Amino acid sequence: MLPFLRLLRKDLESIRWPLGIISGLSAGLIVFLRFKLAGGWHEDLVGILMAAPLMFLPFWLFWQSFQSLRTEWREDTVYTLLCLPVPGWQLTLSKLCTIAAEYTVYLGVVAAANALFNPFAGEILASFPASWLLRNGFLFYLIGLSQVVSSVIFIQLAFVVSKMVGRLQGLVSLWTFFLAFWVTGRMGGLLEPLFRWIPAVPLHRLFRLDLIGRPIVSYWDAAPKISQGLIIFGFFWLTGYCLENYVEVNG
Amino acid sequence: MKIRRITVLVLLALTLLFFLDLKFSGLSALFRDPSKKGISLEMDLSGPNAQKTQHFAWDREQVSALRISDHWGGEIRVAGTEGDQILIGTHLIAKAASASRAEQLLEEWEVLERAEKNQVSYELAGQGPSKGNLKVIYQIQAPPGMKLLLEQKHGMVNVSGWEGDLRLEGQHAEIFVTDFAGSLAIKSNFSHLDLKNIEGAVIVEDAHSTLSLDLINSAAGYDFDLNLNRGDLSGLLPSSLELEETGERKKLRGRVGAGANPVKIKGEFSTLTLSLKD
Repeated sequence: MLPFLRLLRKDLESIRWPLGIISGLSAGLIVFLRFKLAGGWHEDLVGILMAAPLMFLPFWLFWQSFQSLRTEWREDTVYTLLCLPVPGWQLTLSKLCTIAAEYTVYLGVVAAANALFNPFAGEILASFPASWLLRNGFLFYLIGLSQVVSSVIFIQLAFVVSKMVGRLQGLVSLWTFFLAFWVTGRMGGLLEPLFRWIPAVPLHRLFRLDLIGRPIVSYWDAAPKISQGLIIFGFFWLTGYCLENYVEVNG
Repeated sequence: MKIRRITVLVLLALTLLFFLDLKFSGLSALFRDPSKKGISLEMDLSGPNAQKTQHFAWDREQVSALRISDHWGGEIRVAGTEGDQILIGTHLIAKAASASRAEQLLEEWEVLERAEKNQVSYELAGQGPSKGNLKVIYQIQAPPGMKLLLEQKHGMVNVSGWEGDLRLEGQHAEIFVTDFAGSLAIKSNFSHLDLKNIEGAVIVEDAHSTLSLDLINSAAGYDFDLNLNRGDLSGLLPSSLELEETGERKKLRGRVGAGANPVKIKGEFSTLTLSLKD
């Protein structure tokens, strides 16, 4: 456990500056726009521009997850990394946790800045109970996190496979990423009948729609997502195994 | 070197499977996420609610067209009648945290009737942000031969045993038309359409829906012109029809019998099941 925590600490330290700068810039942009709103800019335009950093978030995270592995090769630290007494899955898990931390901090900063300075966000926040907003905000955070985690696993798999092939690494990486999505959808569909016994998730209870007076009953059949989740977990294990045993360090 | 060869072989095998899948399933099916289909959404009518019923009636001579617009999860039910009167019953249900609030909602909202020339329209009208707490069930008895224009979002339309000119618009709707004769025109997206025992002209413009069309063969026959882009087509197709597939496009053309009734379907990402009965 200790080697993993050290590894995680090293990865977290490596994102400190980029994350600080990007979060600071986004928060700065939101504050700047707030001043512009007072200066006469149109309210709709300011509201949209304030939400823009959230649209940037997925691209930033995908880039960071690719970059976190690429840096190990570029700076020749991959030799040391693979000599550490940790299994391959812990190496990828450490990077995965780092991206999850980036997602959490960046989302937190942008959401807080919007809550404080975005006039539209203020209106929405005022119209719902605070406890309901916190609960559902957290649920949406978890839904977003699961999407980020699955995408990062695809990116890691694509990167490791490209290193195993050796040639045309950029192209192989892109194609593997694409194929991973396709395999997950198709295999997930095949495995889905195995999980049909799982009862549907009552979304209206999960999101407590009764607290805001919405008389809606909504159920979500989770079987397809569970089967897809298993495939993605399989990819995660495969990436760690290949990284530990087969990857070409000087590729 | 061995692992490099194995990796390349696995990638090539998956690539081959991918292209076979693309060829046989089409691009739209490749990345369809089945988990997104598994969400059901309906109004919860348990707990405090209040209800109000309104009745409207028109002589057939006064009205040639009837328009019903429902935009939030209600139901429009149409049945044919032999009489000369058009009967419209509306059942408005309000749901709120307390019975008194539900009653208040019923006072703020009502089904509004508008008459213009020979057309009568009905839709929910009122004030406040509470439309999501209301559901309207329209029950219509319509004589044959008139024009019906039905608009539904997120709700259901059920037309049964009627004859005339039927125009439907549906978004995220469940549409059932059974034992119908006449002219049927539908514009839909993200809906489920089940059209059974249909005799007459059918014109559909659709995107992202599943459509089942079950036609009754008659002496007048049908003239088919189906055009699906990135969609699926299945069912019992008469041998006189010609199916042409070009990339993601599927075209089905040809006549059955005298070909007097046009069946024109244009679909984007639509799943169509077609059958023709004697």
